[in-house]
Amino acid sequence: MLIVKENNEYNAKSIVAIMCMAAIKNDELIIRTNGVDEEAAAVAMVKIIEEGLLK
Amino acid sequence: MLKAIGASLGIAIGKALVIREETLEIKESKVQDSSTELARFNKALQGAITQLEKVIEDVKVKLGNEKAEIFEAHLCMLEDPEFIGSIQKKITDEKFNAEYSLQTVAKKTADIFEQMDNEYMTERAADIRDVSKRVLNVLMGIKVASIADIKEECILVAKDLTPSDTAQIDKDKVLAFVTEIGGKTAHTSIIARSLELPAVVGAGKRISEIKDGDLIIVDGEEGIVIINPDTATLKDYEKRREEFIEAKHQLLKYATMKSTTIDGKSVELAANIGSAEDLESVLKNGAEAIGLFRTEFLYMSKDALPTEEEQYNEYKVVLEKMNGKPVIIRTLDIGGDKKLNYLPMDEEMNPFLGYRAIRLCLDRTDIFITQLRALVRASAHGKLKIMFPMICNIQELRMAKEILEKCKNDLKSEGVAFDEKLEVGIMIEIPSAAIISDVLAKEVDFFSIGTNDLIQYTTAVDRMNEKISYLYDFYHPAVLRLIKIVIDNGHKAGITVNMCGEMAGDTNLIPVLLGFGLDEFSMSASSILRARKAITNSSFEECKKLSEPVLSFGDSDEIKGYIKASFKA
Repeated sequence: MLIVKENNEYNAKSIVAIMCMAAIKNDELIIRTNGVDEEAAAVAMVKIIEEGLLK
Repeated sequence: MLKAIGASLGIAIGKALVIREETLEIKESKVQDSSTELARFNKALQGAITQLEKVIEDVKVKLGNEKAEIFEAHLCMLEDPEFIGSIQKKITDEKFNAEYSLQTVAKKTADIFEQMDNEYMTERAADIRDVSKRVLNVLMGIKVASIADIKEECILVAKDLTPSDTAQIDKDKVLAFVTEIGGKTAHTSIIARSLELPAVVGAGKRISEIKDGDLIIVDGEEGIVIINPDTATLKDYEKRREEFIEAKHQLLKYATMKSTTIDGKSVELAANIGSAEDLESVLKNGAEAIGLFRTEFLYMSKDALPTEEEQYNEYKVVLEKMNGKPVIIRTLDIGGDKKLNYLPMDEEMNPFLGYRAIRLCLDRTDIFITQLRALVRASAHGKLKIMFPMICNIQELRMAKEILEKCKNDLKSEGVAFDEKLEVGIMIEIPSAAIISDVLAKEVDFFSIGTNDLIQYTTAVDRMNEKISYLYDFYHPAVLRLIKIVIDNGHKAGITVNMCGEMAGDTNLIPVLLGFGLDEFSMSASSILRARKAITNSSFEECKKLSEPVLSFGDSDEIKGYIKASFKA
């Protein structure tokens, strides 16, 4: 699973990568998923981001 | 003398223990057998993880679970697929030695954090360096002398103390610390405050003037470090240190006491907060409630209006941490001197008398409804009370309550749980509201007297204008009379009357306010212990008797003189 910001890809499973992404409110992010549960994973990721990346 | 940032209060005098940062010599080399090198790295990684797990356990015992989270974050870094994966990839794909691979990836990652605009993120670079150094030490077989092994009393002087350094500090040996870098929000500073050790940070390159074994004075309040002081300065600071320690010790016993006078009258001592981050100090100082949660800071810290969900989460955290104790949340009080960059407002001739607080909310009901819905939803998680600011007439109060009722009905029909008995109160901070407080009292559950604005509006003194600041007077007879009117009118209607302005924490006035019958005193958390001392050493009956003549004086100097002569607070 990858998050794309300004054409740069970040590993969504890595907290260090997500912090390095330095995304702020109103930034446009693209979530790329691949695999058997890709749809569910994308929906879950969108939810996590919308909730402010809280646990 | 060095002048820097005072990061943690207190005065310490002792010998400097200067910690020099070891520079590890890392050589760049290629390996023949990358799988053996990878196994060497993985073994060191596992060793560092084991060390870190031990640190987490120690910190949990010494400093509590919250502080251990710093190291849990370090552990996450050592298990991070991207960070660790990049190092492993450098070893296997590029065949670099483990030390060089680790150092290169760590530097690149730390540099990314360091270049960010946000101070919090910049300080995460120190975490990356700290955690990488731990692995590097294991990898190179270096046994680091631990701060935990210090045998004699000292003041630590270092470029910076890593979070793991500070976590191993033995409070019986380390008296204070001074660092070259760091700010008030750095881990070092946070931990200094939680350990209650005086600390001065950000001293810069001049820190090199301090030599190992020098006698130094650290003043954590002023942010001052004095190297090898003369006898007179030393004597002066020894006296100040004793006074500080004595005052602190004396006050500590009040943290767990009830706010009850010697003749059994109980009042509530509450804290004013601006966000959930203020709660640590609130709880430590034994606040019995939150008397004022200023929600505008939640709006001011964002670059757009906070959503219902964002607000709900913030209020919920506060209520849960207060664990059933009352929390009075004031609805948005923006305008006057508080502006939102993303909410343009017209320039006004008299902004403090203009479009602000409840006036803005009743006009911008979209903003108001979002906040009220978040508040009503949060009420399911504790004892929440809603408070409207700047009410000047009964119509405003009724309109605000009507909108609140609509929010409650909407949420009920959506099946959302909330506290059906949610209390509603108002700030009494405008003289007109104080004068008609008998009328207002019949329609609310509590009053909270906001003295900062009440004094400003009663005496027509702009509290921001230095030229007329001498007229801004807690002791003005008109102000004290208005306060008494509000308390009496509130009590006649059977509601509680609180105070949430600076006046509530003034230990000279506390006995007078107590005598007037005030039910709750809300102040900054750091004032609570002194206020509790004043209350528990007072007799309610005596305060009542002695406060009566206060209302007969026509001059604030007379009032001050009378209070000084009559009350023993």
